[in-house]
Order: sequence, then structure tokens, then C-alpha cells
Amino acid sequence: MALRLQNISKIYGPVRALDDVSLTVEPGECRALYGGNGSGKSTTARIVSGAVAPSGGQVKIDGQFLGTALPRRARMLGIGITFQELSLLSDLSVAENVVIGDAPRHFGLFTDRRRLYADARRHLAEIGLEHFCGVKANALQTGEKYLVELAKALYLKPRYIVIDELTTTLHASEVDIFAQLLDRHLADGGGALFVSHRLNELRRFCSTITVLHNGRRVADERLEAVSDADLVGWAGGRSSASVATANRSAATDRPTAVKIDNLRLGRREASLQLSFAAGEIAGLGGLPDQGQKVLLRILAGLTRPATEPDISVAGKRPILGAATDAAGAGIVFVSGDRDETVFAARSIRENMLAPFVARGADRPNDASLAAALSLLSTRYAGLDMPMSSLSGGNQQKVLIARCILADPALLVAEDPTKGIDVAARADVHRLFRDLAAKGTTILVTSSDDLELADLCDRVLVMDDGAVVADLDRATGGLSAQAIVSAYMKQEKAA
Amino acid sequence: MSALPSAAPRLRSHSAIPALALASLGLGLAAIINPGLVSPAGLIGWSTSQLGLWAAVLAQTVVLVGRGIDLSTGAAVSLVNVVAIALFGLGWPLWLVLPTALLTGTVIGLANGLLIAVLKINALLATFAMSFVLLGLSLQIQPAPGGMAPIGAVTMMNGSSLGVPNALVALLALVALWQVLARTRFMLLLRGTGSDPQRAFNSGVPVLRTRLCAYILAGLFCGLSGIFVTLTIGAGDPLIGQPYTLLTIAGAVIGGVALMGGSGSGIGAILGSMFIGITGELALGIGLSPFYQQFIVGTVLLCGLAGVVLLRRSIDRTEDARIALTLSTIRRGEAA
Amino acid sequence: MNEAKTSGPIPSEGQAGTFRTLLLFPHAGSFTIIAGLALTGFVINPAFLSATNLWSVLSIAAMLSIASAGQTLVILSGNQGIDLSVGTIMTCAALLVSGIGGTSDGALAPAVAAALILGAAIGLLNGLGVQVLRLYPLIMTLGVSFAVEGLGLVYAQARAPSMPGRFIETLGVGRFWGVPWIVIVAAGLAIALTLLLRYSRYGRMLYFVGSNIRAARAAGVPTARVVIGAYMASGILSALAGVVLFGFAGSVNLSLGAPYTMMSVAAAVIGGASLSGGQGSFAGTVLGAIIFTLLTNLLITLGFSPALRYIASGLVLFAVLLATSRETS
Repeated sequence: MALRLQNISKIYGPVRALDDVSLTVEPGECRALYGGNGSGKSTTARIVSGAVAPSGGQVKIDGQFLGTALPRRARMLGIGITFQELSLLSDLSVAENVVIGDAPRHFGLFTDRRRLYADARRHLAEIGLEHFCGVKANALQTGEKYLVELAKALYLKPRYIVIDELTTTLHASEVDIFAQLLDRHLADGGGALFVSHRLNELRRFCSTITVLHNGRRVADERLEAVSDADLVGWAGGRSSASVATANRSAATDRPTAVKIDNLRLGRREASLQLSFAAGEIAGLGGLPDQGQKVLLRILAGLTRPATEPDISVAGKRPILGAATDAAGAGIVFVSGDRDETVFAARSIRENMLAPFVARGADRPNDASLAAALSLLSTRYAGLDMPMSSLSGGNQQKVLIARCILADPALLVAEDPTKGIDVAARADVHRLFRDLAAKGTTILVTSSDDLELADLCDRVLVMDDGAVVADLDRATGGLSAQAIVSAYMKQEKAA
Repeated sequence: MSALPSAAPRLRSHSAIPALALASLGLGLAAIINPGLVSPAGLIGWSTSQLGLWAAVLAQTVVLVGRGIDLSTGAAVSLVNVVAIALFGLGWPLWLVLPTALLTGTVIGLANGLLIAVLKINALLATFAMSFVLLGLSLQIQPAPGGMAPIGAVTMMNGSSLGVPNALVALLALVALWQVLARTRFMLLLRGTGSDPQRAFNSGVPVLRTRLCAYILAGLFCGLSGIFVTLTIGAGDPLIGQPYTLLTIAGAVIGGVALMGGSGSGIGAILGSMFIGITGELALGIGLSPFYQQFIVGTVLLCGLAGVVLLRRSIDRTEDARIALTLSTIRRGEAA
Repeated sequence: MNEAKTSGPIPSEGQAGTFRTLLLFPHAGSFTIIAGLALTGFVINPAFLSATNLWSVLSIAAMLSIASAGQTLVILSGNQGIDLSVGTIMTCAALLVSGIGGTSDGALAPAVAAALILGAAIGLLNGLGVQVLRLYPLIMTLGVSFAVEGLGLVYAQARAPSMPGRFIETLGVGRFWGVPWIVIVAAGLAIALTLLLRYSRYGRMLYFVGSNIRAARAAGVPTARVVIGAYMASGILSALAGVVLFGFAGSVNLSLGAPYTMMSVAAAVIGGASLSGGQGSFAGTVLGAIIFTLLTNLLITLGFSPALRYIASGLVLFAVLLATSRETS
């Protein structure tokens, strides 16, 4: 009785994504699946869920073979999965989403709406979202969506649950809800396969760990027996130790480059007044969806503000709500949401040249493109290859390399390291610092408070469209704890 | 707290409201301009001329909700029409012709479904190619308008019972049929599939089977439409259904069916096609030369489409804002 | 290989990629199908490959290519882009040229100018509906075509249709050193559009918008202008096609352009344009038009009745779609 992956391999064209990977999840066990970008973690999760067919090997669930790749069959055999990119259907209500795998019915033919909502309500109560039953799924906030995804995976009472990068997007209090559900699932004799980049979470939830590197299993250990350094080493990444930032000059020495005045976010009456120095890396922290992203998007010209704020960047005043004009004013936008930044079918070269083509500016030659890419240790087969041939982390590196070439006055980065591994993250951070050293102002959001504390000169903690704390590294007031306590205080006050 | 759940009710119930308003307005205006329209004879004439479209728009709606599209609707209706007339010509009795006609529609739907759901050809192009095949078949069976349906059945279809035109009785039956359909598990799976096929597949929805069923069901509705057309005009015409393809898409969209799939109601779609049907009556009613009719109908149709889409967007926005507010109230309530 | 530590291009794969590109002749599939169709025709009736028949096939294909030029741009612009008003614009342009220009070449310039302006206006309307009202292209262009067709009806009832003037007739059916002018026009258009799509700033932005409109916006591409531009270009090119069609058909009637709406979609798609946008080229569309025309011609050679021809072209379209346009999910 266990979930067994036996000698699984998966070949995509010339790429061997998984090579002879075996692992076992016993009832009551939570096994971590750890590795860098493109190591095959997500592919493994998809194979277990039946969404992808393996090229070789077998998945055995409590003695039964999964056979054909069909999510429905995997579910029937007792597998529940949360998808990294979610599986919620935006046109259906939250309740319908939770039960869609096996909705209650009359005579086998008709949906039993009463029972459907009652069942869903019971399940949603466990994640504290029982009042959201009748709401369309896309009305939820990101964290809530991931919790509903979890409730949906648990609805059919699976024997084994696969959790693919779920907690990355959750806020601390939501992670606690997740922990409760996971503990109950394990206590009831269920097993779990937990896919994550975050070592502290792996240690919190898991007892055993399988490490993948380049599609091969490189370690299979009890988690308490290994150190973080071992794990990072196995995953093939470099040390994640933060680069010293002490010897950088304080922001106050530098001229102001970005000025924002009279900006109102959300339903706030009071307006924001912010200024950022040239070469400053400023983070926007706080609970998710408190106006950080809207602020970034207004600066990038992707969202039109409700009122007319005064914004100037390096002396220029871009027309608000016009991304073309923002680009002309030297503002560059980069996002961890690759659906919003990547031309998947176009070549790497074209992806890098897009902003130059759009502005009608001189285009950098191939040599400078390659130089920018090598700064980030990007792995690619050639500039002519389509962007879709790269792993997510490498696509992200291409986009960041594009920012270097543009030499922007203001870089607006929305969760830029979302879903990329420790080594790549360190590369991105180093690059941001280099850019800042050349005078670029960088505004960045992250779902990871540690990252903000690590990367930024200054972090503004936001709550409901207002800045509630301004933590400066120069005065020694910047740390992950300071960020957390700033927004937790707001939480209690609300 | 107990009041909160009802504050976040099921959504999209409003999607047919603009079509209801437009259809009532159009009908009202038409009745004022041309009082003959609401006379018993006028009602019979109008409803029989529209019944085929009302059945066909349900076919289009089922397909659209599943994020498909059917450009062969019109050709399918024509084929069912000429098949039925040909069988009547061979001396088949009514009770045998009607099921065969329905079967014809269903087989067409099955063919579309196989091409789109199983062979994974783009729906727009597959049904476009299908419309060629069906048109050819219709022309092969009956190259020019003609033939005759049994006079008794035709008289009944064009008659009325207890003062209500039988075509309107058939409309009520269509509405009831849709209501039953809307409550099936299939419809839930279809909305899921239409919302996002990949995610629905990952959620355990049998996407292939659901899409296949949607096209088969659409074929069934085309069969019904073909039967209605046959019995209301009493003859066969290989081109009779041609305008239906475009009119059903426009009618469904005005009726609040999302072209991107996931939501929509057959009732709304019927109201939407009623609005389109009444526009023609209006143009004739104010005494315009028939030459101007299509231009007027086209312009009104375009304004109607634009209006409905814009209206729906603003309704959705207010609704979304209201829901966001309700949700944040709930969230705050929980945090306390 | 160690992913995190290996940087830069991977030489072996890079070379393999170049090699593969060299081997894979562009549009190899289309050329194979064309050769196959031509060979089949030749086996059935050797006259299929006679100069007369070949020039006739090429002329018809040239007409379809010109009519599909606008459609290709709109499909490239992505986001379900499709222009169902192509045929109607062609008809109206022909009506207008016939109405203003008559049979003489005297009023040719104002007549053609009026037709192009009409095309531009209808295209602008389409573009505004799609981009500003955010109506689905299918619906917007369908509604516009319905209304414009009515407009054509109103315009046509006022005057008797005329024959085309000498210039337009020459354009449609004349020859230059034995080569039909219509083929020369199509070839010129193909060269111009290929240069535009490959090398101009607009062409490259069109591919970006079609590939991922959100990413294009984030990269600073003026997406609204690019999309509206595609629809306007489609309107103008369709009007131009209507003028050529007037000469090609030798007369004008209310359903003159109608078949070209869907044939243009078919030509573009057979030629490899993806309806999800950002993929395809005008060279591909021209090959698609040749395939479509060869096919119809072959069926006529086989002595199919019009009804059977419809069925057969539908079935073959299925085959082409199966080979080229399967959706991977």
C-alpha cells in the first residue's frame, strides 16, 4: 500500500525531462520533491496526476497501475493534485469548481444543486471560505484561489495528494490553514508529495525528500538527516547566501529619480506621495493585493489610474495608461507571470528585441544579446530557437537580460523571481544590483518577505493602498521580521 | 453572518436581460407600427416564420457554451429539410419521417463532434468545411426548391390551439426542453469545458466526451429546426437554412451567450434571435422599400450587438465591484 | 550537463538546429500537396498541365491570393482575428467602381480612390469595434458585412451595372508578354507584403501582437494602433481585390465577392496561418490559394457536378485541416 513511481522517464522531443526516476510515498508520509528549474519536479507531478503520459516506467497506486494518462482515472485511483497554474474554471462558482470532478446528482443525469452546495460548503468551511460558495471563481484573490484548489483536490478524499508549488503564493496565515489540512490528511493515513523550492517549508511539512537534478534522482533521504547546504548542492544550485550589501552608499546621497504625487489607490481617500532615488532598489511589501501591483502597473502604463496623479521619471512625465509612452520615458516592466511577458512562439532574439522594435530604436546586435544572456548564465540552444523551447526559469532570465540591454531609468519588477530556482534567483538579484549601481531605480514586489529584505535598500509595506511602514536599510530598520510585523500589525488593527 | 451567503448569489442570471429588453421593445414597437402583427393571423405568420430559427439558435448555444462554434448550422437545417421532403416524396409516413429527420441532424452533429473533439480540428474551420459537404448533399438530393409535405401536418403546424399559435406552443416546448437540459450534469461539465478545456481536463472532466455530446445535441436541435422548417413551409429548399448560421451566432451573442464559452442560456439566445427577427418586421412596418431592409436590419443588428456587449460589460463591472465589496466585507468579518 | 552552471549557447544543439532548418525547406508540405494535386490531374487528363490550364489555374489562384491578403494580416493580428467582411467589401468596391467609373477609363482614378476609401472606412469600423468596443472579430466583422451588404443593395438598385473599363479589364484578364496581369499584380503584392511583414517595424509588431498581446503591450508596442491598422489594411486590400475582381469577372453583381470571405480564410489556413495569431506568412497564403484552386480545378476535370464538387472540396478541406491545423491540447 503506497504510491510508487517505478523507473519513470519522460522524453519531450530531444529533451529527456525525466530519466529513470523512482520514488515511493507511504501512507502518512509527506515526501518533499526538490530541485532546480527544469529538474523535472512539475513533470513528475503531472505524470502522477495523469495529466501527462510517461515515456517509460509505471505509476502504481496502492497496487493498481495508473496506465493511460487520464486525470479522471488518477482521481478514481485516489490521487488528488493541486496545479501550479491552478485548475479553477473562472465561469463556474467556487462550489461548482470544488465538486466538478464528481458532482452530486439525481438519477445519474441531473445535477443535485442542493447537495452540491451543501457538500461544497462543508469542504470550503475547512479553509474558511464557506461564504464564497456561490461566487465566480475568478472573483477570489490569488491566495484564496490556491486554497480552493487545495479544497478541490481534497474533495474526493484522495489517498495521496500532490501539491505543486502551492505555498509559494500563500500568505503566512493561509499557509497555516494549509498546514492544518495537510496534517489532517496525513493523520487520516493519506500520503503527500510536496513540490517546492522553499527549504523552510519543506522542513516544516515533510519528513522525507527526493532531490531531482536534470531529470535524474540524485538523493532520497530522511529530511532531518541532511543539511540545507547538502540539499542546495544536490539540486545543483550555488550557495544561496545573500550577497553583502553593507558597502553600498545610502539612498539619501543620490538624486531623486522617480516622483509620485497625488496617487490614490483602491478606495483610499488619502493620496500617496512617494519618491525614489536613482540607483535605489525599493521593495513593495505587505499582504497580497494591497495596491503593490496596481502601483507597479500604473507606473508601467498598463493600468490607468482612477484619479490623475503626478508622476515623473528622470524628469519625464509619461502619459498615464499608455505603455508605449512609459517605455519611451525609460520605464521597463518585467513580471514573473510569463503569460504576460513571453512571446512563446517567437524566437529568443525577437523576444529580446521586442521593446526596441516597439520604440523604433536601434536594435542591439546578436553579440550583445548573447553577452547579456551569459551574464545570467542562461541556458539556450541558439537565438533562433523559439522561447517555448526554454524552461520557465530560463525564459525569465531572457526577459531580465532584455532589461539590461534597455538600460532603463526605472525598472518595474512584479514578483520577478516567481517559480525560478535558488541559483537563478541569485543571478537575478546580482543583475538588479548591477543595474542599480549604474543608476537605474528598481521597484520590486515579491511574495517572499525574505527576498525583499535580502534584495532591497528600502521596503515600503502597503495596506489597502496606503504605505504603512517605510523600512530603510541605511537606518538598520530593514529585515524580514520588520516587514512581517509591519503588516501583521495592520492585520490586527483591521 | 447568516445573511452573507445570500449576498453572494449565483451569477450570470442577468445575462439574458438586455435581450429580453430588446425583444420586448422590438415586439412592442412592431405591434404599434403594425397592429396586424398581434392579430391571431399575424402572430401565426410571424411565429411560424421564426420557429426554425428558434430551434437552430439552441443548437448554436449548446456549441458556444462549450467554447465551440458551428458554421454548418444553416446547411444542416437545409439538409434535414430536403431529406424530409425527399422521404415524404417516397411515400414514407410522418411517424417514420420525423425520427429519420432527427437522426439525420444527429448524425451531422456526430460528424462535427468527431472532427472537432476527437480529431481536434479547429471548430470554426471544421464546421466551415462541413457546411460545404452538407450544401453539396442538399443540392444533390434536391437541386431546386420544390416538393411537398403532408398537408395535414403542415396545416396543423400553421394552425393554433385555444387561440395560441401552434408554433408558439412548440416554442414553449423548446424552452421547457432547454430548462431540463440546463439542469443536467452534462451542462455543468459543458460549462466547465467551455470555461477552460485544459483546466477542465485536469479537473477530471471528460472533455472529449462532453464536447462530442455538445455537437451531437446541436445536431439534434438542427434536426428539430429542420422539421419545423419543413412543416411550416411545407416544401423543400436546399438553401432555406443558409441565413441561419450567421443569425444564430448573432442571436446567441445578443442573448448573452459568451463566445468564449463557459456561460449562456438558451432562453436568452431565443430572445436574442427574436429581436433580430422583429427588426425585419419593423423595417417593413414603417413602409421602407425592401431594398433598404437589409441595410436597416444590419445597422440595427450591429448597434444591438455593440449595445448588448457594452451593456453587459458595464453590468458585469458593477456586479464585479458589488461582489468584490461583499467579499471584502466577508473577509473583514472573518478577520475580526 | 549541469544546468545551473552551463551558460551560453549549447554548440551541439545549435548546429543541429541550423542543419534541420536547412533540410526543412519552408512550406515543404504545401509544395508536396501542390505537386501531388498537379500529378493527379495530369494522370487523369494530360491537358491538366497544358499551358492554357496552368495559366487559368494561376490566374484564379492569383485572384484568391489578392483577396486573401487582408485576411492574412487580420489572422496574423491574433486574438481570434478574422475578417468576415472581405467578400462584402470586394462586392461594394466593384459596385462603386462600376457606378462611378462606368465603362470608360476617364473617371478611373476617382472611382478606385472612392473604392479604397470605402474599404479603409469599413476596415476602420471593424478595427474600432474589435479594439475599442472589444467585440469579438467574428461577430463585429459579420455584423458589419451584413450592414454593408445592405448598403450595396441600396446603391445597386439605383443604377444598371456596367462592364469594366479597359484598364480594369486588362488588369483582370489581360496579359503582358503572355503572363496574365493578375498574376503579376499578385506577385507584386506578395513581394511587397512579405517585405512589410518581415522587415518593417509594423510587420514585426504585428507578429508580436498576434503572438501575445499582453506581452506586446508590456514591451511598449502600441497594440491598439497595430490591430486597427491590420483591419484597415484588410479593408483597403479587400477593396483593391474587389477592383481586380471586377475586371477578372467582367461584370458585377451583388454576390460577386461573397465566396471570397471564407475562401480567403481557407487559403490563409491551408497556407499555415494559425487562427490563434502570430504564425503564418503571405507566401504561405499564396500557396494555400494555389492548393485550393488546383483542387477545385481537378474536380471540374473529373466532371463533378457542382453539388458533388461542394462535397468533395469539403472533404478535401477536412484532409488538409487534419494534416495542418490539428490543435494540440
